[in-house]
Amino acid sequence: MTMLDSNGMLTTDKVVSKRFLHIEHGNLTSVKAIVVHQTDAPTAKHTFNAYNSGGNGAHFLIAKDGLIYQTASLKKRCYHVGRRIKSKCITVNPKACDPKKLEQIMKLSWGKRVVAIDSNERKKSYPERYPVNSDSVGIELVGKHISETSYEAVTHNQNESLKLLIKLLHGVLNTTEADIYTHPEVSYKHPGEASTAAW
Amino acid sequence: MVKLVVSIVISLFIISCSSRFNTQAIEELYVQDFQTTDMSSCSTKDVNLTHAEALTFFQVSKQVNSKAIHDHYDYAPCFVEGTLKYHGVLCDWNIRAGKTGAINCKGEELYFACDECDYLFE
Repeated sequence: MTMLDSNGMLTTDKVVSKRFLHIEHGNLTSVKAIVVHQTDAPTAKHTFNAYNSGGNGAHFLIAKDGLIYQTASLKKRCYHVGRRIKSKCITVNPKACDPKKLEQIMKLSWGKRVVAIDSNERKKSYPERYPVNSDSVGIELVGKHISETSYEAVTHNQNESLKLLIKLLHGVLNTTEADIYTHPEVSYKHPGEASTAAW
Repeated sequence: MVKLVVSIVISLFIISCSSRFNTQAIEELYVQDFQTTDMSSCSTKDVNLTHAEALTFFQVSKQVNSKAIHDHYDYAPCFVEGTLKYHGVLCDWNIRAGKTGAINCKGEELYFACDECDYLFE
């Protein structure tokens, strides 16, 4: 049975521990969701090099051959979601949005609307809003952005490993299928990112 | 033959200069079209730039790599697009409502982000 050790690392031989302290930013006290990403890098090594300098990163990375690395503690926050989240009520259930507030927001230019939506959403709790860095973990799949609309397809081995990892995380974090999102669902990201991920 | 050599030299020049694209050398930039993948959230008014404003966008922007766009900027579903000339070579470009842009010269994609362009998107 997979468990968490005192450092927030999974105890399983299916996941290689390769922790990068520079991508951890403060404590993560409660995990409610999982966000699936693609790295926009051609190999795992490229991403590890970037992680050595710190900044953005996620808790797990799945290489093209399917090898799963844990790159950050599940007790630590990573910058993986992005600065602004989308509106879950607009996307999932527009009737659940406050119509007055929605009308005001929709009058704004796109740039200002993104800021207003984020501000409004962050007043809500998960699952009424999309997950943020402080209540989610991220899984990166190695894959380069190709064009304005696409990323490299996620490999068969990556998808198999993604399924396995999500199953392990459900057991450890008590998350469910409803708590898994791709990055562009949650924030304003390239729509091709993780679009071929399947779990 | 001369044309071919000139073309190869220009292509090599553009590729070699891709990491330091000189936006002051942009000529004949024209807005040609608007596109969106979600008209309900991102429409023409969200990125309604004139030819001159589009040129200003690139001149004020900083050049970044695709990873920086991915990590630090919002991806807007709508954009204006058009053509420009760079050292005589015809290139395609686009500017998204999230204040990011791209220039594609002979298949080489260069990325730009503007942190001080809010006034162009009001």
